[in-house]
Amino acid sequence: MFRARHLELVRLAVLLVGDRATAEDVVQDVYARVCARSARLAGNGLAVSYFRTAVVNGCRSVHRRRTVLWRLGRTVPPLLRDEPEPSAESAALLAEDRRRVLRALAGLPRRQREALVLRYYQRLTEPEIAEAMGISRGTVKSTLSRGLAALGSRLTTGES
Amino acid sequence: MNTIEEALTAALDAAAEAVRPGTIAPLPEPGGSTVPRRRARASWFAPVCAAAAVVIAIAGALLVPRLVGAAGTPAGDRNIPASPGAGGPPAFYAEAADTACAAGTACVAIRATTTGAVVATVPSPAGGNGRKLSAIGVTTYDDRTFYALYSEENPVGAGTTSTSTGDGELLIYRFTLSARGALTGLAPVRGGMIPGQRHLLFDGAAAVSPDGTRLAVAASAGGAFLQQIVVIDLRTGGHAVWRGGLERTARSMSIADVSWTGDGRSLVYLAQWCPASVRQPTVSGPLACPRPGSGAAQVRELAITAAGGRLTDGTVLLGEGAAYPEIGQAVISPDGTELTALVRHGGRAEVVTIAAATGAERRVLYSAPLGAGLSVEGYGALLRTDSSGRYVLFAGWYFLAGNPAMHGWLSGGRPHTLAPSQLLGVPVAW
Repeated sequence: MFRARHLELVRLAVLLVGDRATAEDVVQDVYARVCARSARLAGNGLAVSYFRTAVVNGCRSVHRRRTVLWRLGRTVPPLLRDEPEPSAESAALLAEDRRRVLRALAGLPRRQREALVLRYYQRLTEPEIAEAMGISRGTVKSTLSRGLAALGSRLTTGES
Repeated sequence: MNTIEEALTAALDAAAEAVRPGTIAPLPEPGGSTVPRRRARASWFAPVCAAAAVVIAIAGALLVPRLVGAAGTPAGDRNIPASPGAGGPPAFYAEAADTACAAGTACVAIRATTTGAVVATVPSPAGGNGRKLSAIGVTTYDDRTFYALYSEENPVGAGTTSTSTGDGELLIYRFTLSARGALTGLAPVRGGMIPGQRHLLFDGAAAVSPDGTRLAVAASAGGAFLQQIVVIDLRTGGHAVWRGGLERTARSMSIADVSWTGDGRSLVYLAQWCPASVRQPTVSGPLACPRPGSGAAQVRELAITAAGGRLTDGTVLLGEGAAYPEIGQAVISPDGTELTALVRHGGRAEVVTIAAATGAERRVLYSAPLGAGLSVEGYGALLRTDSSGRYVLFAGWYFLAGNPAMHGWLSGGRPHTLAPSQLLGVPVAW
C-alpha cells in the first residue's frame, strides 16, 4: 500500500518542507518505520491516514531542525523558496501567479500551512485533517479560517 | 470556493505535479538488505543526550576562550597542529571523472567520502553534434544541490590538424542528491549558458552563494586568457558581470578561484598573471601557462551588486611577496574572517589559514615538498571548504615532489586521504 501511495506522499512532503530531496528523505524514513512496524502488525495493514500523519510529523521534524540551524546562525533555505532554480519542466508548470501563492503560503505559520495543504491539496475533510495533524476539529476549523485570511492578506498586499 | 481557495488549490496542484511519476528515487524492496533501518533508541536516550549537550556547552564556554588564546598567540609558529576536527566532513564529494560514464566518457561522479564508493554518476548533457566536452567543473553550497559546469568546444574546422579549438561555451546544469545519494532533477540552469569562451574552464572557478540564489563563475571575457566574473541570478537567469581593470602589459590574467562570504554580500577571488609570451592562447589544457609564478597574484574581495562593475572595485586581501612568492588557490571562510590558501613557502607547498583583515598566518594545515622547478600556481590544485568552513577539500597534482597527486581533506590541521586513493579524475566539490 505504501508503494502505491509513494508519489502522493512525496508530493505532500514537498509541499510541506519545500524541497524535493528533503521530502524524499522524509518519506523514505517513514517507509523504514513502516517496514519495521509491518513485521509486528503481521498483516493488519496500515491505513493511509497513518502514512499521512507520519509524513506530516516527519516534515515537522525537518522544520524543527531548520529552526535550530537558523538560531545557530547557519543559512537555511526558506520554505518553498529553496528551489533556487526549478527545472524547465517545473518552471513551465508553475506560472508566476502560482509561485506568488506558494511564496505567500510559505510565509504562514507552520500549523496554518499544514492545514491548508491538507485541505486544498489532499482535499481532506476537517476530521481527517484533525487526525493527520493531531489536533481537535475545532482547532482545524479556526486554523483554516485564519490561514485563508492571512494568505488573502499577503496576496493582496504583495507581502510574501 | 472563493478566489483565494481556487488560487491556492491550483498552485498546490501545480507544485505537486512538478514531482513527476518515475522521477523519484524508488523505495527499497521490503525485506531486502537495502531497506533502511532505524536505530533502536532506549527511552532514556534523548534526555541523556540533552543533559550531555548542556554539560558540553558549559564546558565549552569555559574552555574555548583559553584554547583560542593559546592558538592565536604564536602567529609565527609554523608547527602543524595535530588535533583532529570535531564532527565529520560532508557525506559526498563530486569528482570530475575522465572515464566514469558510459563508453568511457567524462562525467561527474559522486562518491561517498568515507568509502570512496561511487553513489551516482551524472550523465554529461554537453558534447555531441560535432562539439566536444572539454572540461567539467562542479560546485555546491550544501552538499545536496550541485551545479555542474560543462565546457563545450566548437568543432575543429576542416583542413586543420589541431584536435582542439579552445573556443566554445559554458553550459551549467543543476542536480540534487538525497541524503542517501540518489540523483534527481538534472536540468539546465536558467541563464546557465555563457558564450564566447576562449579558453575553457579552470577547475574551482565557480561558487554558489550560501543562500543558493546566485552562482559566480570565472569565465573568459572573449579575449585569450582575459577573464571576467559572471554572477548568475539562479531565480531569474540574469547576469551581472565584473570585468576589466586588471589588464597588464605583456601578461595575461586568469581567475583561479572564487568563493562567497557567508552573508552572500562579497566574493573573494584569486587573480593570477602569466607572461603572455608563454601562453598558448588558443589551446585549452592543463599547462596553458607553463611557467607560472609571476610573483603578482592577488586575492581580492568584491562587493556584489545587481549592476556588476569592474574587477578592481574591491580591495586586495592578500598579495604575493616575500612571505608567499606564489599563491595557487585561496578561498574565504563562511564568516569572512579567514582565508584558506595554497601557497609556496620556501621549497614547500603549504595549505595555510590567514587572517583576512591583517594577512597574518594562523595555521598550517598541510605541508609537503614542492617538486624541483614546479609551481603551486596554474592548473594543478583545488581547494574547497564545506559550508561550515571546517573541512577543506584539497586536490593537488603535478607540483608535489615524488608524490604526483594528493586527493584529500584537511581538518583540525590534519590531512586525510580521500578514499579511494586512485580516482578516475579529480575531486572538485563538496
